[in-house]
Amino acid sequence: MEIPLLVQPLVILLSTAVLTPLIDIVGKQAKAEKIRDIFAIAGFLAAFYSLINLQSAISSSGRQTYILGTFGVPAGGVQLTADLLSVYMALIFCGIGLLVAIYSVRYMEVDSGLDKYYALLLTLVAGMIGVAFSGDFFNLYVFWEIMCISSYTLVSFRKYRWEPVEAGFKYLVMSTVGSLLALYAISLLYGYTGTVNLKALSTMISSGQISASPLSLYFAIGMIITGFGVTASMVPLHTWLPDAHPAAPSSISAMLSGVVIKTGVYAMCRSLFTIFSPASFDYGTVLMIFGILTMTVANLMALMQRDIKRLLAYSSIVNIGYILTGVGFGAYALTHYSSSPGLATPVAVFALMGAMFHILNHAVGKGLLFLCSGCFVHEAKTRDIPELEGIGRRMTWTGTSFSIGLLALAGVPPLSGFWSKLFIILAGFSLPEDSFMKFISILVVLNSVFAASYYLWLVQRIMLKEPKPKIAGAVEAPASMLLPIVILAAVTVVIGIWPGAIISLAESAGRVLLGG
Amino acid sequence: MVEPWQLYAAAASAAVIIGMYGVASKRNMLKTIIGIEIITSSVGLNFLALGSRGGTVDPLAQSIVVVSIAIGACVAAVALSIMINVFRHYGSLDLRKLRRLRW
Amino acid sequence: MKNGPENQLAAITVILLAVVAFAFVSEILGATPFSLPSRPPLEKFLWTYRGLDVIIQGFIVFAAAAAVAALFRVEKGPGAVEEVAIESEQEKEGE
Repeated sequence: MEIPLLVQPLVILLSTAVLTPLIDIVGKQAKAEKIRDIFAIAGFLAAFYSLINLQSAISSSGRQTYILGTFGVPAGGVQLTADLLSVYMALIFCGIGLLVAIYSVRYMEVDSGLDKYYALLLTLVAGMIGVAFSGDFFNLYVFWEIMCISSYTLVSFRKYRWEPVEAGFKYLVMSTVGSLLALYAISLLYGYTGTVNLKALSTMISSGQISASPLSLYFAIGMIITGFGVTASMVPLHTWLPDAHPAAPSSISAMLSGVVIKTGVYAMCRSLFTIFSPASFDYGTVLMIFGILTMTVANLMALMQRDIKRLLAYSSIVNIGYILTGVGFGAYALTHYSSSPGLATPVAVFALMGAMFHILNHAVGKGLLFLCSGCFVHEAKTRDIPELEGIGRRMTWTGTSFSIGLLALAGVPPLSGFWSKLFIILAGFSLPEDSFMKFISILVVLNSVFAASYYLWLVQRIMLKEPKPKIAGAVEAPASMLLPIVILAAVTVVIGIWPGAIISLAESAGRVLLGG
Repeated sequence: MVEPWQLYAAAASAAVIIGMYGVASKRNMLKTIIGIEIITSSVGLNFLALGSRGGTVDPLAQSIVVVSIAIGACVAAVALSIMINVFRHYGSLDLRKLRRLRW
Repeated sequence: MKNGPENQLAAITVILLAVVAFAFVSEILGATPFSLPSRPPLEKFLWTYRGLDVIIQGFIVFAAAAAVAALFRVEKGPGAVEEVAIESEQEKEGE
């Protein structure tokens, strides 16, 4: 039976997830427990390979679609669509998932029930890839829920301590209400058009056949932004994140901060830009304002933290603010300058390219930072920054990679973060007569400088101070935990020095939102 | 002339708000989870109400509701498991006890 | 009835939401019905046109089963040891 290329990653990941508990039973009988870890990593590798094949197939022959059987879309069938944006996001999700699985082999040794851990990690990545590939709004919700259920459980995985359980409950309640608000928006859009297919919704709303006033459509837009904004940790819906990310095991913190919150941004962008054309609906202003609010509030809170993972969690919220502001620039340019598309479209492409590039940079950088801090915490048994001072001098590989990650996110050239922040800021200055965009861009610059200050302060504390006697005996992390860290640090440096290939990928991904 | 589906749609929207009030203001964690289930059911009712304008209810709306009920059940199962674990640590189901994580 | 800042905030939020929803609901009540394509009845529709949703929902049930099993597992060792830095505890130690 030939499985189409489009559904191969999902089939591989989901079947590996179901088989992992069985392989675990076999492994326990044969007294070789690591078989299940190797099996899960093999599943990720196979899915990643098939995604690379899919990427080359799409760039040569255009977007791919898939319908189960022959049941057509107009009558209500489910359609999976993979275009350049979907496969760009799916490659990021699967790549970070693969590296986190390699890291978890040693990091999660002390825990039991690891067959369920790997099964849930596989369903988490499968859900995210499904969100990226879905062309039907309700199908997106179903894949979204499989991602959410896996992530609630993985946050509370270490249930023998109070912190993950408390953080997991708060995360569950807030995120479920958010998902249900998005489902309510889907029901409103269904009520107006009779379909839930994204492309069909887009044609029906833009052609004006339906008798909906703009007020009701803006209500649906508001529900979509709020519902997906809870998972994307937009201020003021972000309060679950600073509790959930530190409480989760560090490998899962890397997944959450690196890719799960980006899925929220992706779902918001895909649904808004596809269904509601930016030329007729103004949501760019709202996204820009919330982006600035997110950045500023989270920057101020990050300064006050003494817990290293909580500081990194607030910094994730700041970076989501950058991405939302970049997306907002794109939408705003298209709305307010729709009469002169020759002027607006390049600015919008530039802004969306910066936002997509920043999604990749932050996923790699924050994944790197959380994995390194996991190594530190694994050795020092504490998350308190004053206790952890100078640990980078004892754990040189980890400490150096940690510093590379911090400098990259601070936007220091020639590392990767510099380019994506530069593009977002320049996009705001590209329309010289629009003072609102210039004002927002100046705020982005100020926030970026402010964030760089506490990143550099953290580098100084971790690397340059003398370690306390309690942690003076820390040894370097084992090789299988160092491998993903070194790979991520190398990727950061390489993208910073040769950003060209990634820039063209990000630009074609951004163009999909505008044209396709 | 107010048609039946309009009443159902208005009632469903009101029930969503009641569910959100329940999630936001109740002290007992079990009541919070019940609030989430109220929101799930009300959104389903909204789908069915808006799909019933053609005489019979649209099968697309029906299938969406069937799948979303199953998903709601799974979310409730996970939520209740986490709630039981919280009870094992804190000894109470009072949400105000979960205040250790502040800043 | 319990009073307190949380309840008042919740009540204000609910009133604002009710206003917004009421404005919206009176909009949709005026909408005219759309013309639907003819669709088979539910028992055929669910498993054919919406087959992908049902398959993925099956995997959600599997993930929920794995989740409940993970949350109720029996621990054999002490597990991971981590100290948490919390403001209130630090202040108490400082005094």
